[in-house]
Amino acid sequence: MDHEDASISYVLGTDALGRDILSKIIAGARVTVLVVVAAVGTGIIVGTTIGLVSGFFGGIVDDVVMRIVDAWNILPGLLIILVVVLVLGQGLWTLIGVLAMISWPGAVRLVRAETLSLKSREYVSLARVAGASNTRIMIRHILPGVVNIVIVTATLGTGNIILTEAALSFLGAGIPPPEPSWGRMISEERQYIDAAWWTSLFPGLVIAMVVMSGNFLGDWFRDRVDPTLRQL
Amino acid sequence: MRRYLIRKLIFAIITLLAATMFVFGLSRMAGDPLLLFAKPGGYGMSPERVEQLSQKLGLDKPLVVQYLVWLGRVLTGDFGDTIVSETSVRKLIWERAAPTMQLAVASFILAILMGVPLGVISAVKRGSLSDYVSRTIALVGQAAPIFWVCIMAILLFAVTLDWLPVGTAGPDDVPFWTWAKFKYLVMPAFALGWGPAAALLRLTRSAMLEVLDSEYVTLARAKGTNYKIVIWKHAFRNAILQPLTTSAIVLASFVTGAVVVERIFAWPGVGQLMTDAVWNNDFPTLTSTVLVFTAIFVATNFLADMLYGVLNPVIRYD
Repeated sequence: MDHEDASISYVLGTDALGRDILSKIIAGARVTVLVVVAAVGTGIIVGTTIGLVSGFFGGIVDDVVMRIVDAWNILPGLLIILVVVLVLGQGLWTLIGVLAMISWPGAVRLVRAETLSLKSREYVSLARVAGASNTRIMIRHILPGVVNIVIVTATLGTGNIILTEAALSFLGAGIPPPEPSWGRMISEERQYIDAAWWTSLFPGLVIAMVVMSGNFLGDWFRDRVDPTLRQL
Repeated sequence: MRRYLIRKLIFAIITLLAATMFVFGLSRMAGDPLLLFAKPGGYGMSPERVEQLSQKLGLDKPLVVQYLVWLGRVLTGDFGDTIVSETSVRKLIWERAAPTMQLAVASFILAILMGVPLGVISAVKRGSLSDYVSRTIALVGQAAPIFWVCIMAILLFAVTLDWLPVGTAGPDDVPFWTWAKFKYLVMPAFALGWGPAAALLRLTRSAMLEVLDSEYVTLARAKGTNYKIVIWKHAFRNAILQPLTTSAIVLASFVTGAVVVERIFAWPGVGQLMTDAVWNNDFPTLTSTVLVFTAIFVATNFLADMLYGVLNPVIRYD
């Protein structure tokens, strides 16, 4: 089998083994969406919980958490991830785990800041007077107030996660082989670019378009929910 | 201010230490480094040879001791030998540092020269064609995967148009400012600088828009001050603070990008050294390169904090 140019039966052409590029891109979308949603979801849930607790209780817990977040932020993320993946072995769950690792600190910072401002509001004091427990105040009174900010960070962070996943797959440490992956498609086919440019062009174009859509959606959502969040 | 800086410095050092421990621990979890000496399908090693190598590499001691010994050596500038070729890691990193620095500095300058002016133009001429063009450049730069940009650039400028060479950092015997060598730098620098340029562009644009909206700018214009002077003297000076401090963090992001770009362009830098070490399970090289990269990362962040403190006296140091 060999590369085939675009035709009616293969709209975007075929790769070096004669497989249809369009089908691979569609199949790759499924895995990418699974990985990204799971990673962002895990990161956001962990980050929100830690941010909520840290902001609500303050004190030494808060200090320690914030120092860890600061430290995490000044480390080169992709390099650390690369090392972790190679040690733990390549796998779908490892990938989701390491991608979640880079998405939680952002959520912690924002949720904590929002919690700090919400917990001094009068309705929280009133809830306390009415005898509500800490857990109840956090879940029933503060969490609904931070949900918006959480959704905005999750949407805006999605693009970054997709790009990181693609870079990892490109370097050979992302989605493991039998599953099709956009990043790996580009990496496998790049040796043939002078003969078959379409094999590298289209998967990358798809990544760029998905990331762009994510960014647009995030921007739109941010302006919609709260125009004062412009700086995010 | 001073206490703030000292605290930041101590924090940076602790972070660096934590990172080295993490990486060192992980690289040892990956498997017995001695097995790498036994060539696959070969004859294996005699027990004496194993013994001798263990002692040489300090593998017979507890992990904590191995780490401390390694750390002590690193602090005195001795990164040890690589497992694969048994040459000095320091020498290797030193050889590879210059190409990486060249690439990073070129991309950084490019990012500023592209990001800041385009950001200002796009804010001042809001809604115009140049605004849309600039914003498109920013959007694509933030969304396109860096390795794909590299490959598409190669396809267009090296394969189709045949304008620029690709594959190495160019001949060694000519200085980098000559075209013979410089032309090798053009594509990698653009690929690496585009993303950061996009980030700077967006930051500059939103900062400029905010300042142009403020009352003192309206006043300056009402007084009849030349519009160009208002833009560059009144607005730009205030708006540039935020993007300028962020640019240090932008510089740090090159660390990540460089790994990918250096791989594609076969650029003989530290990033390539690192990915090679990862595949070879060569832990002295791996820990040292990650350490070097992390140190650069932490240092630039520290610089950004300092720069911010100097440029913006209103900031609270607590």
